[in-house]
Amino acid sequence: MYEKEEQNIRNYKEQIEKTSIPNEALDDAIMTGFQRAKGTKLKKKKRSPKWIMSLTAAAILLVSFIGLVKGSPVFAQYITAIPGMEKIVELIRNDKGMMSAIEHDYYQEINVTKKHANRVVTLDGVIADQQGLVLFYTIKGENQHRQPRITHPELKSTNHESLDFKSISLSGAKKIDETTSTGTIEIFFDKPYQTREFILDLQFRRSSETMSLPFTLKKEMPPQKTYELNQTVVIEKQKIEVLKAVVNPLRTAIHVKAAPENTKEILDYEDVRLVDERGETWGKIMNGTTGSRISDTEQILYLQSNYFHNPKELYLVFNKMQAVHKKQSEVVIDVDKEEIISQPKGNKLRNLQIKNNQIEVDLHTNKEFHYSIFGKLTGANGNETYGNSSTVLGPTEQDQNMKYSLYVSDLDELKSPITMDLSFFPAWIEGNEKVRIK
Amino acid sequence: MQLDRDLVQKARDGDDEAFLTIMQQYKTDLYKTALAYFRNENDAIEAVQEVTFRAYKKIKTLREPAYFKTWIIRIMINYCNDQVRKRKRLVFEQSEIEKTETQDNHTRIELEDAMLELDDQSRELLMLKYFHDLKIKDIAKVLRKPEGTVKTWLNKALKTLKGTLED
Repeated sequence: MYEKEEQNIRNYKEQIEKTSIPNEALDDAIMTGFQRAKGTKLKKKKRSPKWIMSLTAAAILLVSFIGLVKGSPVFAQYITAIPGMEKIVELIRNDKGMMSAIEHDYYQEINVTKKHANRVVTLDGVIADQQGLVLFYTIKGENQHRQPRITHPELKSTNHESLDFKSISLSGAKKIDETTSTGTIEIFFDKPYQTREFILDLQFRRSSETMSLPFTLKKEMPPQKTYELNQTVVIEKQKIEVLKAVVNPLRTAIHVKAAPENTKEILDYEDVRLVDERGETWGKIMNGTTGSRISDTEQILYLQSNYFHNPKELYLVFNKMQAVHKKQSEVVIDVDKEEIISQPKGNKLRNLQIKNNQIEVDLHTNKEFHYSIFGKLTGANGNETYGNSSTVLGPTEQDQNMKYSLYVSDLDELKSPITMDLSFFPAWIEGNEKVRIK
Repeated sequence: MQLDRDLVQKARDGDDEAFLTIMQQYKTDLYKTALAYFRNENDAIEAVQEVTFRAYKKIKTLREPAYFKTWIIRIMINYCNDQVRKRKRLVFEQSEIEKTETQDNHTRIELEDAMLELDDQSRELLMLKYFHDLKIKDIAKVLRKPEGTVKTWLNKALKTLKGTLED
């Protein structure tokens, strides 16, 4: 009855059969997947999704609590003197530190171009410091419907060995015209790296080919500035120890540790910034990695760099943090009855609904809250998982509340009641506590 | 098959080496399944990584070692379905690109598109039956449904597919 369709699928299968198998890549994939699974099995601690989320949150938020850099006349002149510089500046306009690095001549031109099929990629330049690199690229496609997109960037040494960096990320591509777009690739290391000659391997959507772009860092690395602080701030009775600050041209890293005896768990350091004696501020990274987690209480926050600014006095100011009582830092739900069994006080989550592996809930709050609130999910049977994707909706004209939905493909594996860890939550501790850095 | 069974048993009891050996045996099947969904090598490789991760974490829930293949292919199909669903949400952004990039092979694309328009269950059944040549009996066992039900579902899936292709 359906011979044609059956044959159709079989033909399709045959076509797939003919494709070559990337054996090595598959072996790597299996090893990586295996190690990831082992890692999470051994470690009972929360994984890092919090920070992945905060990256998205930062990207979505883009609130303007930090003024944009107003171009000084000198800087304006500098930019116009170099052809192509405008598009570079356009990509980092929201980052005071990087703007300042360009102003202080730390942008290095690379200008390496590779072509393949209908793609032309140019590595325009780089800003590098001892712990990281920000690469600027331009990519040109054949026509507007075939805009190529980078999927997997990889930084290697010249003999194609992988380097031990901590994070690599693609930052929002900007369309210049119908066929051309620009973007940045940020790579950060845990500690100063020694390599100066690199190869950037790029892979593209819908293509199996890898493009290799070599480049060398020629400028001398600016030395990093480290401030050992070991001071404690107290906000609404919660103690936070500020261990040290490491300032590099690309970003400032602040190592903080919440006291274990705190009654509240700090979910997110929402408003933390550097302020000099004249009130000039450097806030969190607006579009990129905003922090990395060391443990439940310890983390590193990344702020925009004030490396090239030399103030008389410099303070780290803590204004606002998302925090919930430790005893209430989880939400427990009954899947079958669609009931919230427990949640942080204030009854902010309401109207729980579960359909097709999708957990939906309303959030009653006075202002918009565009964060992904849930982290790890644990079933009554001990099985653990994370949401595959989350959506935040609202508020709309009809409905003042925000609607959250979390899609969990293996929801069936979790026995009800399910305990959901909070990654973010609209409850804050606020204050105005300073730590003097300089 | 016998060897497989022992290995699966070992893997289920926490023997990592056994687990990796089995993954080696099925990597090609898994990769091709993913390729059928994503039409893209990178995504397919990533899918294998994710499925390895999920399989390792879930292997204790595998009831019958003899059905390991069906079990792990299903994990892959579930993952692919999720991804496809996610991508559908992005469709407004990419639809134009998709259209032009897929003109190279008409019939194949048509079938792929028709498959992607099916509901998850139908797609899964067609993949298991025709792509992986699994017996209805085995599929029924893994889904814990009577064979008759699986046959009915399969027919329904083929019918929908036919409808979509003829549109």
